[in-house]
This record gives sequence, structure tokens and C-alpha cells, in this order.
Amino acid sequence: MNIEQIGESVRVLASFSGGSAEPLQFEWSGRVYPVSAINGRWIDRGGEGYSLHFSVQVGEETYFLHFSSVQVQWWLDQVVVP
Amino acid sequence: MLRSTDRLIVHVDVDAFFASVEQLLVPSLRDRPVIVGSGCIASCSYEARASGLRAGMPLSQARRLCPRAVVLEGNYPIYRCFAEHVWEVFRRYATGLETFLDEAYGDATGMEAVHGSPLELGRSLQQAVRAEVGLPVSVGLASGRMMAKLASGSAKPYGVAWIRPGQEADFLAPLPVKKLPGVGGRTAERLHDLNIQTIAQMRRLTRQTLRCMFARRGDALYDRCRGIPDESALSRQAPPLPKTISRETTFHQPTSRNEELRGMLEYLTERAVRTARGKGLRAGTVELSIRYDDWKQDASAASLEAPTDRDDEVFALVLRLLDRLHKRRVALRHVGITLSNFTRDRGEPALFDLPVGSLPAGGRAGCGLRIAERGARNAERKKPTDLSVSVERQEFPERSAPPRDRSNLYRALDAIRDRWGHSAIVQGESVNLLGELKQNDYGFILRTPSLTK
Repeated sequence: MNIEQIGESVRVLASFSGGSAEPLQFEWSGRVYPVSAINGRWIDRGGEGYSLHFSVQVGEETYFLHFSSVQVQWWLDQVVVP
Repeated sequence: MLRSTDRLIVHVDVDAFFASVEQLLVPSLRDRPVIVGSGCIASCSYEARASGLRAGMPLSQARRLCPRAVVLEGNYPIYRCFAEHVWEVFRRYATGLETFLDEAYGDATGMEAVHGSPLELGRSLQQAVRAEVGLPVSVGLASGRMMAKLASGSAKPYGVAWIRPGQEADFLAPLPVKKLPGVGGRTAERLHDLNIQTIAQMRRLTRQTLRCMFARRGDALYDRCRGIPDESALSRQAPPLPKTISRETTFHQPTSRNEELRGMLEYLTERAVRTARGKGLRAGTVELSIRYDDWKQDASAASLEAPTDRDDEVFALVLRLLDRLHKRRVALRHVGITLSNFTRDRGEPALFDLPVGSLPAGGRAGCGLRIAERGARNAERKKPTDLSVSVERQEFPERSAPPRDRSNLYRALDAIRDRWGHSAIVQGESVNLLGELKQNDYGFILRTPSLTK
């Protein structure tokens, strides 16, 4: 298993509804990654604002994304390749 | 059948917490042995436990026993977020929650009208956590805290158990004595010496015998082995004073650099003292523990005459303890601060915290602070040796702000950190850690954060 730290801002197509968010696909380095499943999610309320974190599945690979409410920006944190 | 007057205490324990979070977030880890920890196992999945792995086991031994295990350092801020989510769900089922990192107690007395029988409540809670958070929990229900914890332990993994009122003694009877809270390795050994293996056999000992064997603890053990509920658990009175608040960590690389050591100690001190302040407590005793790179360890404690909730007073003492302890020319791999001997902060100024003008002439002169220190060379866990040391507190210059203002300063820092995160302000020698350690809103990301709460 290979874990790669990324830490780059990404463009995400997401659905915000009923107080929850769901990333549907994201664009990173010019390529579009369709989300096939959301493995888990958590909210980090430490500090200013909050961050919505997601572990999402794209094929065999797992991507960690988060949305920062202060920056109003999505970030790709890490990729796990089995 | 539960009568409406019967107390119902619920204990929720997240199964293999850290490993379960990792398996939830990375599907390729599911059904595989997963270890979280560095140096030793902090948590391992049930697949790893099948190979004999247990929390606390050194990683070298774990790798020998289970070479295919995936070892992860872990991400403790994420685990904390998941725990908060689990307790959010738990609050819908019980009141007065007392939460720890991976377990919590709550009072569900009188909730049967809303959630049904205790077993239905437990199953509903378990399913809600699974659906909303994604983690497996075991739930124990009983009339007391101790029995609820034993019930959840018996139901693991992913089970629900209810010990009906009046059946506590039957539940306990066949269990080995070591299962009883308060019976550790040495206590169990002493009981085994009397050929007492099970809790049923332990009940044959009279209260007087247990008192003779274990002093004051004997009374508690006498009640516990009969399943008599701990009445202090979740009572509506003020919570009991905690015995200790500790913060400790292992360095990413063993170090003997003075600025790194002092920076880390100041950081751990401010975290521990902030926790104490948050609970309205003043610490009376400070202990410093260190572990060298060759695993030899040492500890020393000092008691202040006046309990304090100020970082600077505690840190000054920590530095004196460090001078006393760190004598070998070997790098340190682990340091820890423990505060104890707490008193409640009632908001009354101590005599020497009063403004300068309110003291009689000469009142500030010679206000020495006597500190009784006890050193404990515990490489072999020797009994601490009593030493008495007198440490003079520096006099404050006439123009300096009175100490009470410093307390207000720390409270202001706490308010800022509560709102903007602990990392919003880095104080004192902790600045030495900037650039050395990563930070998030909770503070510096330590290799092994303190798991105590």
C-alpha cells in the first residue's frame, strides 16, 4: 500500500443538501476523477470555521478530500494506492 | 423486566477504534490485519488480534507474529473527530455523558418509553452509530458503571449486552479475578497465591481479609466482586476531582537538543495546564517522566505549596525537574508531564496573588515558595525517595503586573484558542518546535499524542 501526501487545491463537483455535502467528481492536474463511493466522512471543528473531510473511492484508489468553510475551497490531501 | 426506578447506565466502546477508522476510510485495509502505532501497538484490528497481537505490544514483536500486518502511524486528530461524532449519536440515547477517547458512559434511566427495552436501546444505538458514523461499537447496559463496562467487554466485538438488575453477582461469578476493575497483575498474583482464580472464589474472603490484604482498596474490591454498583458513577453531584492530567509524547527522532527538549516540555505543560484550567482545577503536584534512547526511564515529582493553574509556574518547576533528572549523555526518546493533587479553583485569589497595594508593608518580601520534591528513579520502579528542597520564588519588581494578571492572561489565551484553535498562539519556548513539527488547529502533530483525557 502506497500513501502519497498531496495538499493541493482541487475543483470538485459536489451536492450540498440538507446540511450535508457529497463530492461527486473532482478535477486534479487536468484529469477528472468520478467518485464511485464515499468511504467515510468527518467534520473538523477545531479552530476557525470547520472542514468537511471525505475519504472517497475512485476505482481501486482512495482519495482524501476536504472542504474548508473559511477558504471556501476544496483540497486533495492524500491518495492511497493499494 | 426493568422497573422505571432502576438505574440504567450505558457504556459504549468503539471496537478497535483507531484500526476501525483506518479500515473505514481505506477499503483496501478491510479484512486485513491493521496495526496503528509507532514503537508499540496503540490499536489493532480484530484480524490482527487473531494472530495474538494486543495493544501495548512492541511493534518488533507484532511484526514477527504477523508479518502481513499493515502498520500505520495513525492520525489522532481524525480519530478525535470520529469520537465526537459517535458521542453526538450517543447523546440522543443517554444524558450526562462522560466521554473518553474511545469509550463513554451515559445515563439512560427512564428512557424505555422512548427507546424500548435496554437491549432494544443498545441495538438501536449501535445501529445508529454504524449508519451515521460507520464505526462498530459494543454496548453494555447495567445498573452501574462498572457492570456496564464489563457487559460491553463481554459483548465485543460489535455486540450488545444487558446485565439485568439482581443478576450482577451471577454475571461476575465465573469471570477470572483479573476481569474485576481494580485488580491488576500484582493484585491478581496475590489472590492466585491463595488459590483464588474466579470472582466467585474471591467472594469467600471477608471484608476484613480484603482490607488486610489491600488496605482501603479492599473495601472497594469487596463490593465490586459482589456487583454492588458504584454509586458515585454518574451521580448528579459535581464530578470527582481527576487524579491526574498528563500529556506525553515520543520524539520523532531521539534528541538531546536543549531547545527541542525545553520547547516540547513547555508545549506539553501548556496543554496539560490548559486542560486543568478548563476543568477549573489547580495542580498541586507536577511530575516529569523521561525515557532515554536505550529505554531506561526516570521520573521525578515536586509538590508546590500553593496549587496553581498557571503555565509559567508549572513550567519553571518542570525545568527544575529536568535539570535534576537528565544526567546521562543519552538522547531522550520520550517525555511526559503529569499534573496531580488537584484542588478546585474557586476564584478566590491566593494571598500572594493580591495586588501589591493590598499587602502590608514588607508583605512581599521573602514570600518564598517551599517545594517538597520527591525523586523517583524508576528505571527499576523503585519507591520514590523523599527529598526536601526549598526553592525561593523570585520577587516581582515593584512595577511588574501582579501575578493575578498573568492568570487572566492565560484565560484570555484559552479563549482565543477555544475560538481559533490551539495553534493560533505559540508561546514561550514552544516556538522552538515551529518548523520542526507540523501543526494543525489542535496544535503540533506529535508522534504519539497523549490519549488521556
